[in-house]
Amino acid sequence: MTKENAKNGSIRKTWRLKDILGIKVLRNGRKIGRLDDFIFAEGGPIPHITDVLVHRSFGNPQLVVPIDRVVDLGKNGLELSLDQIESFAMPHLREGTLLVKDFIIFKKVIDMEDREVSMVFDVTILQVNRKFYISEVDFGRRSLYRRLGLLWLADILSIKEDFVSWSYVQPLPESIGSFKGDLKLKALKEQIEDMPPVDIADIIEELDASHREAVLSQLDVEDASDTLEEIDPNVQREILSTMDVATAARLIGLMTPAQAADVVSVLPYDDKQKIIARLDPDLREKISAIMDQQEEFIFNYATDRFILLPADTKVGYVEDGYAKIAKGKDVAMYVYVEGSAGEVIGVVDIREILLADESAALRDIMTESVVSLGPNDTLKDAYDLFHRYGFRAVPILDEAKKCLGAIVYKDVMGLKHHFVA
Amino acid sequence: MTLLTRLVFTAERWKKAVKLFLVLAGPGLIVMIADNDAGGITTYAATGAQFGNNLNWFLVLLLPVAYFVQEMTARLGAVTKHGHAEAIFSSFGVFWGWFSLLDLVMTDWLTQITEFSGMTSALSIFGIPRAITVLGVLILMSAIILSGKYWTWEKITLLFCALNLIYVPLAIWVHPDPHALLAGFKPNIPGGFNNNFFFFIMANIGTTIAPWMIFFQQSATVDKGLQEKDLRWAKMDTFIGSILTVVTAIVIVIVTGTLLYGQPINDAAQAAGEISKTNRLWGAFMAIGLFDAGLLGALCISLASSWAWGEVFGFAHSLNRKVKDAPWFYVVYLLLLAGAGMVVLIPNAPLVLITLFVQVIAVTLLPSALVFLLLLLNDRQIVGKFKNTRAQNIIVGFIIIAIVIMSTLYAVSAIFPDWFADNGPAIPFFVSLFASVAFYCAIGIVAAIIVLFAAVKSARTAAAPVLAAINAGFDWLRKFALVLLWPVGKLLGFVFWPVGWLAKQVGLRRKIEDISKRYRIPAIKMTGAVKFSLLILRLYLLSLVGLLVFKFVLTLTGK
Repeated sequence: MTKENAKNGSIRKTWRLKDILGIKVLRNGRKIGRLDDFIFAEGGPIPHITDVLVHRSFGNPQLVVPIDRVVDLGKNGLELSLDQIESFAMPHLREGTLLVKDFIIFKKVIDMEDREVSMVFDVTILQVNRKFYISEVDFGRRSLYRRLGLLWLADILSIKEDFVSWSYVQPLPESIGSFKGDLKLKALKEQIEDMPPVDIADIIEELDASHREAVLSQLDVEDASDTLEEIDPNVQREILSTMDVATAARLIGLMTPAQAADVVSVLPYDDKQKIIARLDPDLREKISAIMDQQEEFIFNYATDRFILLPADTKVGYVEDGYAKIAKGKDVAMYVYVEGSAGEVIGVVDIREILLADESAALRDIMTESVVSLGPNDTLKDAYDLFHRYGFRAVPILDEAKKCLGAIVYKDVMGLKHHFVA
Repeated sequence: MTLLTRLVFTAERWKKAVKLFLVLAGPGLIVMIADNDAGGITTYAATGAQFGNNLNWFLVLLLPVAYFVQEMTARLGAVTKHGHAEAIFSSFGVFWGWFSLLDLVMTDWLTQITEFSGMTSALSIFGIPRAITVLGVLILMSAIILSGKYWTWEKITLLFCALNLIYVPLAIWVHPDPHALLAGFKPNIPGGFNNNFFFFIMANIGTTIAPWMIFFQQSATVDKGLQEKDLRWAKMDTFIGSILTVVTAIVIVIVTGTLLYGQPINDAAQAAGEISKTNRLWGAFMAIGLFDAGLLGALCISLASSWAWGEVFGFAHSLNRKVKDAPWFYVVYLLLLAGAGMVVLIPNAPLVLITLFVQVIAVTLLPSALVFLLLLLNDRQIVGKFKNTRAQNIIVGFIIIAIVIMSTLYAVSAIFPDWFADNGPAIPFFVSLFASVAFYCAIGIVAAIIVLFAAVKSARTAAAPVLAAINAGFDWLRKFALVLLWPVGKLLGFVFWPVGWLAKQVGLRRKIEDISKRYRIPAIKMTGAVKFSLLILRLYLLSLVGLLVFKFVLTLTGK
């Protein structure tokens, strides 16, 4: 099974290991042996192949040929450029060499709780130009049936191919060998959907482009949307540019206006227009508003759902009624303290409230110097502020120190692109 | 993991294990099956004819004997990456090195003559003249060896090993009596414990472990390039080999025990001839088996010698070298082979005498080879963590003592046949047995006293003159041996000179590896046990020489 998508003359192919093992190895078009195995090294998001192991006939010593000697891998065989065969002959492999077929195939797959999930039937070798990687592991039931010669049964039962990205595999154990060592997963496959979007995003960022979509498509739309917004902007751009517009619009449509604007703004102009055109009109408006103004005003990002209490309020009152007070608030971790004229005179971290004496007033425990933004401050100012103080929220105060709203850290610092460049 | 997956998982693991085994197996299987060489087949055929199936239980006991000894050679080879001859030279010094090497090559060569004699007499049943057999075998063996690949040699030899199992269908075919067969596995002493029984027990043990096997398996393990990590498989290889060797032995005993029980059989070829009278096809099977056994033996034994020479002299010695790169290795191999073949062609060659001589010489070498093996595998500096465990030491120690006593008695019986004869004993059997046991006990006690003396500090000064005298005696003996060996060396040089000259003319350089660059096995640590063992070995050799002198005097005086 070969997938091929040539883009700009670059080669990108995926191979099932089982399909290419045993193919002829050629040198100047003449057969010198058969492909026996690949040698790989861990490090980086997915393991890369370092050498090919060539089995030669009649007891000639096996060859270990660096992968950069591979000229072509195709149906005809594996063409190598070797000037001298003898210098690659290696009767014994180096200690600590990792072999794909020998060490990985038919090993047990265990999950994080050391339960045996399945066994490895095959792996996918990904070729990017002249580099080769192990990209996916196949431990699905379809391959089990194939192994048993019951593929027709798998067809009847409509059991699908089931590859899982290598990124889900933990680093291999030190002691791995022909018989020793198992493949341990970072999670259970069915658990992948339950992973926090941030973690999935981390995994996706490490993935090869062709696999990102695969992983995203395994998630339900909402999770995919959450995951997408957590991904690094550069990666977002790549993913969205390969995704079809309808899917992209659907994912973006599920985001909040700030996040959506954030994601859309990384796209090239054409794509941006196409996607925006497909969005819900209400969201579209908000997005364009944000996108237009984000350079100037922070105010668009403000929320009015923050806690503002008079200075005389007793700590005990806040403690007892916190659940009620904080309900529905975006900024619940700070209590802003209101003076008699309605101006903000201080701020109390909710932790301080919990530690303070119940009979004390907020006035007694508040921090008087309130770090704040003005209504005319820009996103950039907000960024600098957050970056410097690390607060989780900052109020926006007018000249009279009246609170107009509050900015949540995540809403500003989550918008990485504006400040990346 | 579902049950189905688990099944597939287990099956794949087994498949992989079997594949890996087939790649790594070889030296153990070959050495064990080649152990049933022409001489071995003769012994088993005679045993079957004499005792029927009654000694089967004893043959089963030979399995651990073969396994535990040969497993050590595989371990030593895989860990040190050097052959046994070289190990002895490096660890025990020049005297034992030369003694072992010359003894080995001599034993091997004489054994080869018996192999050729077995092969020629086997094929003469089909009416093939001896000269043609010898020539054919020489050509075949050269062809096998000259491919320049250990792999090729091993695979072809394994094919011949498979052919050796021809006795299995034969044993089923002759319809042995199942009751007698099963009864034979229950320990019993047919006809009581007498000289004849004892002689056969000794003969069977004597054929189970031969000196060449130790040298051969270690060198083959090295040439195959087995590593420490492959040892699990090498052990399994040896174990399966030892099962096969015992199965072959039992199967031959079944054949002759069923067809020729009670007939006087001295020779496998004779057995084949007798069986042909009953059924021509069975006789043919027997003869083919004998030929194959001789061929296997010859194939391996020449190699054991060639490897040993190469190891000691440092010239290239690997089946993985081309003839051009390792001329001496192949020259030694072919010369020994051709020489043995020629001897068989000499009309009225004293083949019986040679067989006898083989046993005597082998028995001088066997104890030292076995003891050295045990000592080397107890030296942490040499084998590191692959040292023998205590259990292994106890088992192997027991086996070695049994083998040495049995094979020595076997050799003694060969020198003095009257001692063990059933009728007209010059010295009754039990007298000889007790005498032998008492003799070894005496040696042990004397040696133990000497070692104890040497060990106790205060007694050292008292024992010093005695020890000095003993040392001086050995020094003198060593010098004497060297003087004796000098003409041998000259003679060898003279014999080999034309070969060297020829090789030089053809442009074959004597390829010597740079020994200084190679890893060398360290000298053995001289602990009390090692000193004691060496002392025992020396006394043992002296006593054998004494026996031979005694025989010589008896012959001269015509008694």
